[in-house]
Amino acid sequence: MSQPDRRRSVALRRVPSYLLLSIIALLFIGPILWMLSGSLKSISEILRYPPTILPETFRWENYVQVFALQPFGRQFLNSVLVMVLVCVVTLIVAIPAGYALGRVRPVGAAAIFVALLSGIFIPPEAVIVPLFQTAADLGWIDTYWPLVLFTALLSTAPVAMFILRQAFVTLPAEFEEAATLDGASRGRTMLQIFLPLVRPSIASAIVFTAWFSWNQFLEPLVYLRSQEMLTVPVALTLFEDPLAGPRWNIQMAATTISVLPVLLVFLVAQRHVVSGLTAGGLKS
Amino acid sequence: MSAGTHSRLAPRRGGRDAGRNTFGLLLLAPQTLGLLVVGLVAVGGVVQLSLTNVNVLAGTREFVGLENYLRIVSDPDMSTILSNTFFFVVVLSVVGTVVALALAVLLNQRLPGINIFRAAIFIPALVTTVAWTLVWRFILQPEGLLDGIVGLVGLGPYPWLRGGWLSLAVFALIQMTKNVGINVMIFLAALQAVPQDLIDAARVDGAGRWVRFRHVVLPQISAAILMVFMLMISGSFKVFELVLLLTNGGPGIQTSVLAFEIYRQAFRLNDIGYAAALAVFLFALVLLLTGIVWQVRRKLVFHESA
Amino acid sequence: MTLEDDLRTQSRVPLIAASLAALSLLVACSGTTSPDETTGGGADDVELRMTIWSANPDHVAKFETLGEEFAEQSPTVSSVTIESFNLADLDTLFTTQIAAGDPPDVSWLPVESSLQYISAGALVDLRGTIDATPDFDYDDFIPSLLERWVDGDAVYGIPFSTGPLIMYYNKDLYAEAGVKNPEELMAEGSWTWEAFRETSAQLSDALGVPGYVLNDFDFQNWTRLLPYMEAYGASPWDEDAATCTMTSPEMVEAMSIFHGMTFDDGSMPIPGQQADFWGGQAAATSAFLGSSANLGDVDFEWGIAPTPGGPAGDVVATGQASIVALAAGNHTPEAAEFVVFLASKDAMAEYSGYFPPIRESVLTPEILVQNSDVLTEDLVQPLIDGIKTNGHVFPVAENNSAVADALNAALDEYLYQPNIDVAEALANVCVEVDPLLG
Repeated sequence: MSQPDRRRSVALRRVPSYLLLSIIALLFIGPILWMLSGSLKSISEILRYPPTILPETFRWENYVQVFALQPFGRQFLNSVLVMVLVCVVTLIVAIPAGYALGRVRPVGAAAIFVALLSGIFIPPEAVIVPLFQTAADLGWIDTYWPLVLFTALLSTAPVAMFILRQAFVTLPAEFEEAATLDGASRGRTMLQIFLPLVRPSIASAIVFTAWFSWNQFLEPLVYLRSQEMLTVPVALTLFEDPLAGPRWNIQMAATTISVLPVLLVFLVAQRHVVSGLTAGGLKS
Repeated sequence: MSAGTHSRLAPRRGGRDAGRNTFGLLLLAPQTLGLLVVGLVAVGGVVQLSLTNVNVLAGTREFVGLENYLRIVSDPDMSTILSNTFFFVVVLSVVGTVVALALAVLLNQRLPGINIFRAAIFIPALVTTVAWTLVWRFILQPEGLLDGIVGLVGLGPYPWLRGGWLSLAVFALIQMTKNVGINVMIFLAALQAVPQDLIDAARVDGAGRWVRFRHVVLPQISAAILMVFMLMISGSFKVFELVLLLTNGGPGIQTSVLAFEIYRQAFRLNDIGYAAALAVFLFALVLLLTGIVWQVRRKLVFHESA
Repeated sequence: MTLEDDLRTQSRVPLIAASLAALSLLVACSGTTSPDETTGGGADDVELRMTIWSANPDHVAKFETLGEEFAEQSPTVSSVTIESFNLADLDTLFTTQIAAGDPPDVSWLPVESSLQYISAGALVDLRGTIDATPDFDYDDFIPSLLERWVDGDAVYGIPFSTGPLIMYYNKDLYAEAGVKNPEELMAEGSWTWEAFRETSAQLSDALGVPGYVLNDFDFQNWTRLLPYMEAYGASPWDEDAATCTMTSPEMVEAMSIFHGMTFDDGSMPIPGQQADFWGGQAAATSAFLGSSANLGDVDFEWGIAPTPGGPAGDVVATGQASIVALAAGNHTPEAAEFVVFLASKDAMAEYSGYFPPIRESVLTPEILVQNSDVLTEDLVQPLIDGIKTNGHVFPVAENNSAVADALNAALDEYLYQPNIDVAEALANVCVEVDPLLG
């Protein structure tokens, strides 16, 4: 087969894949695009039926209103800050735990594993009352302490621990033996040898934790008070006029603003997850 | 290295190496202690509440023992609520995992521009539930977008949000499209961790695509499948937000789920005692469910030797 | 290595667990403060917290300024913080905060919650503070509109926003259909539900758009049906909120009109259908006065009118929200003082441009149109008259959220369906609602 023919046949073979992917992607991205167009409309135009795809007039002022009505820039940074803190706390507790359960396996490992995992099954709506009371007693209201600690320990650390344990378990034991022969202490073995090998799993854990923290609504609603401390999901509900109702167009603009940077981070992180896998020495 | 020479992960015998035990327990200490304190406050508080009859506004609190639990058993709405809940749990976990895996396989191809599609599927996970639901509410209205689409193939307009299995299915669809992205990410990572030489070896042996998938890829990613499955089970309770925003559990309680009932009892009806009892019930159900899955795991997950 | 082996070799872990359990339960239990604990006066650094469901910077600024004024003149209060929240989260926030002993001192409270809070003793009686305040002029408040917050001599809240449900209509659409619009019907003296039903049906037939849509109703909010009910003298429950009266003949009549317009005439949207009056998709809507802000954006000629009358007259259904002091707060005397301060003539004149007051001296056309780009004094005068003479605040039950929930759910299941018998449906509704009343 000649070169152009080969390329053409490769391209043709790819068409069905692209077609399928496009249809599926439409299901996911369609509503987002609608939201994007809604962010540039007036409220009544959004609710109109039949819907208009492109706004009649591009109301860029909606985006200005997002910041005029609330300290949204600060609130966005708050969400980021909380997200980072939750990730840090989660990793600090979950990496050692995952390593311990995956490789060290002390007494009671299986039972401890089950117990640690049980955190994710506790329904948040139910425990918010006692937890809030504790936070109030500790003077933690309108601070990020309860948000970070409770979330990390109950919801994200168990999952991160699970992911990391799995990663550690699947590593061959030769590394450990080699390290012990070299006279490395247990700590060093963990930090310098095993940790780098599970980078992709750490990345996965971070993605999950970040996503979980970012999407939280009930906890920030209850633990935070002042507008300057709020996170994005709660702040979005405050774009509402007490008499005229929710301002959907501004909410959509705010949502768009908050999604874009996170999406960029994701696209960048994606490459690391993939490249981390090839560099991790797993494909020997 | 082929599949057969991955060393058995013989864990060191626990009792013999005291230094090892100390090290291990030390590593576990932060998370265990943290969870213990927070978890006990949370669960202890909830159990305590479940044994009382609290009127928050009046500020009264009286101990009523197991009355709230008995109420769960005798509540006529409970059968509908439970069946709805189980519907979501089963559908979201099974279908959700399968769909996420299928999408991940689809997105695992080395096509130029594949990252755009990956991003497209992930974006809904970043949007708040309120925003996502608002969009869908619009799509689902009578003679709206969805009716229009099914109308193209001659199917009549359907009462999407008016109760029954249809509404539950719609909720499942909305929930799945929102969060599947995160599971796809996890599966993608797992798929790409499958050693290429295993696949190559199988191909050399003459195994077709499907056989390669079933016998080489699946076992390698079985741990990820298990995790996603368990995450979906616990995550299927988040459906309550959708219920809250779209139908408020209605008509009647036709679309209510256990998590929504907890919310409704605690915050709408101010009956946090009963809500707490329901929460304990929910917690027990989930534990039971996941416990079963966990016990079965040994047969399904490769690498789990102990 | 089996699970059993692991379990058998556990030794230290249970002990540690037990002591931690005890510790955390101690922490959990110690936090239970009784809600009627009040810190005595004497301190001069009381910081009050007020919660409002508006994040509008103008509203927040207004109340913050008033808060500062109050703090300056008060010997005990040093500052007032205003916090915004979404009304939909009211129950969540109050439940968690009161249960933990850390509620706001002062708050806006919707009338729907009034009876529940008052019966539970959750609101501070302001009578004492009112009497101790010269120039308060309690009689300035229109008595019929204070009903929901008064019990004998006690006053539990001061209404700061009393908005009537009024009719907005699209003059262009009526002209296009060649049908008499509300203004014309009023001029003829036949502004009743029956007449309105007819013209709406004519309009829908002619133009294919809904003649009437209930704003903010969505088949989930029964209070939007009150214009029908009030016109026929019907109410979902009796005066004492003890028995369900959905089955009364008046109610059957009122609901039959609504049901007919929706399912028989096709002049109102059916469940799930959305029609936006402000976007020109419906000929008329009933909404609160506050929604007039939307009129600035519309591109059709509009008019406003009171809602249609009926056998019971031209009763104006009004929503309401009050400023209250929570009994569970930690500074109830100061909180009561702040509420009374906010209810004074001067203070009310400051914010009544945003929220319709029931202080007669402040309920003037000038103040009402102050912050509106579209309302004029002429337009507003008849509405003011309506409120004063015929205003009737929403009926409220004690367990209002549960009752409202049940009422909405039952109506959804029985009444908002095509091809049903209205009387029968309402009887079924009463079956669901009765147990929760009284």
